[in-house]
Amino acid sequence: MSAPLLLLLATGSIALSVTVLGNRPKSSAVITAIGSALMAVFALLVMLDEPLVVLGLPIKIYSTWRILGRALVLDGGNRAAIGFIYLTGAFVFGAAWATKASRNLYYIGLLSLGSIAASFMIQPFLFAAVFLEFTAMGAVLILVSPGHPVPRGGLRLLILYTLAMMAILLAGWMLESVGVTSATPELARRATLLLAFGFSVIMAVPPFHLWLPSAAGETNPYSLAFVTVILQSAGLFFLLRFLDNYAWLRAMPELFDGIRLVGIAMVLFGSFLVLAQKSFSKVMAYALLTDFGVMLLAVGAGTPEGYRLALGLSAVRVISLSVWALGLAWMLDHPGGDHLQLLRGAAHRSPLAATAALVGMMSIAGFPLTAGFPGRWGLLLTLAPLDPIAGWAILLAFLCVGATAIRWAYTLLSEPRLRERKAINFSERLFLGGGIVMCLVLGAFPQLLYPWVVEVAAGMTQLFP
Amino acid sequence: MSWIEELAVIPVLGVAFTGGLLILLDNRRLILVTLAWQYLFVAWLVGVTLPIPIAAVKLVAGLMACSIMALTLVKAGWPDQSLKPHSIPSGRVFRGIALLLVLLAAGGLGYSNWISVPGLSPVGVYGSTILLAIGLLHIGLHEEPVRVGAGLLTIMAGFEVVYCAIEPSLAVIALLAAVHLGIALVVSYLLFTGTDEAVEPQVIE
Repeated sequence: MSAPLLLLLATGSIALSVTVLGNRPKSSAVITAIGSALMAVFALLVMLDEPLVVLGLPIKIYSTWRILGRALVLDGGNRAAIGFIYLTGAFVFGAAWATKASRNLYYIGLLSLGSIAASFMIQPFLFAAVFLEFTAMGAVLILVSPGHPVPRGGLRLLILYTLAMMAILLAGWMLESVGVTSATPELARRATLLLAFGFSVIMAVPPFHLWLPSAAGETNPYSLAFVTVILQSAGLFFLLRFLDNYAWLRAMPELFDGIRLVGIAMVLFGSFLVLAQKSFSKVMAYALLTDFGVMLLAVGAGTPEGYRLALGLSAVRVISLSVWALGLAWMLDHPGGDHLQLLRGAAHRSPLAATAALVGMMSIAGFPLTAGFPGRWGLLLTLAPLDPIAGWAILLAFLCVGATAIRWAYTLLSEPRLRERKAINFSERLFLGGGIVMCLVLGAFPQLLYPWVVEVAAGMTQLFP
Repeated sequence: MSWIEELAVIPVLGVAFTGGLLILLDNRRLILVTLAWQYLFVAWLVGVTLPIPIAAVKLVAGLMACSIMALTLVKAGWPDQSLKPHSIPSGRVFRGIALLLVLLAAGGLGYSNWISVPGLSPVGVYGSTILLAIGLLHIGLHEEPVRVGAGLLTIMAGFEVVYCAIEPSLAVIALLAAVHLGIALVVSYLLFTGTDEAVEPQVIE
């Protein structure tokens, strides 16, 4: 038996069992969350290539699964990353039932996690681009549902990821077969351009972010949060693996300057547009854009500390964004009901949900005492001496998203449109309250999260010597 | 030299013709039939570089992709049979002129062998360039799922003509065939969610 095959088969089986359940959100959430957590435990703890005795039966779980001349390998270099992505899934699925998300979120979401896990395991790793394309296909099915049938954002996502896949595969061929090195500048330039295009799409760099605001206006916010979290996490790991594998890339000083420049542009673009939005979902989309920009600034530092902070920010985003989306989805009475006017006074109707949305938003902004703060502060201290403009960009992101959070807090707390309170049961209260507490606790005690997340990149020995 | 290589100019003209039709047609049924024909020419182009069984895999995957979309439309009773573009100025004359310009550009690029992939024949370069250019024009002009799907599948076909020459492994061929099927499935799902039949099932709990 091989571990990759077991992992993918188990993921597929759990997804299949959820489809059999029909539209039972609570059961689906419980099964996918527990299943996802078990997959994470398996990926992190399974003993590979050593004889084991299970229930009296001798078995051996191999790290490699060979299929059609290629191999999927679970090893020390990727097991923490796979564990992280499944744990992310477990965290998001757990509360999904409270958000009226489409049932596609559960089983397609789980299959998408399997696809990302395969992208981490495939050898040569360049073919991960194809699995990211499969993940994007799953993302479209999650974003569009009979309840949210407008497909514009989803179609744009599919188009962009398909083009990115092709660019990365071609660049991969140049790197592997033609032999791009720092001694072949013309080929290196071509490969870098193709890679830059591919990763610009994956990291939603403007103008390749266009699917995000479109989807935000058309879909359930929690589904959008799930899709962005998994796509961005997978994209970040893919980018770091590229940097880890190709010394000539790391040796290009202009590459890191370029990444920082793109990060600054994203921060500026997202920061100004977030101020202008009148829909809470679109605020989320543009706040995310600034967050992705800050993450790119961390990668653009080009130091192990910067990479660690990028991973930490990525992990914190899972929590902050889930809490924000959970609160927002719970507050919404109907799709499209997230306009400034429609949410006026919503905090009086749903105080806990409004608090969750605001705390999540403040955490994405990097407010002190929220989960997003330690990473931003650490990055500011690391980056400001190296590149003061990047430091100012981080402060600008905080100011703009923070000001937007204050403006929405004022809107949510103003005179209510409807007076009656929305009924909330114990478990919904538990999830919303738990999310808020988690955002605040991780703000006060970041050491609970960051050291563990850094382990995710343990296999990248060139980036983390 | 086999007849597949001797007559290789036919699939180049074939993809230009079918690609052009895809841009100009407004009828969903005809779009899918044209796409299926396009796959035949693409398989021929791949057959110039790779063994026939591998080219046949491309053809089968393409025909399956067309069938998936056709089945969904049959189930939905061919809604909005005639597609009239809304947002972008794209009357037939406009599309015809754009197509002409794109074909000229693709011809120029193909002549300069811009791809510079070793082992890829000149007809392969011309064919893939035309497919890529027409596919990009397609997705640039439309936002409707069937048309976007046809555009994406055309781009994928153009890419594969090149990529299969440089990476002819079985795993890659299978993965790219799966991408074709995946795109068709996603487009079918989007078509389905846009119909009256699609309703969010009742929550049981």
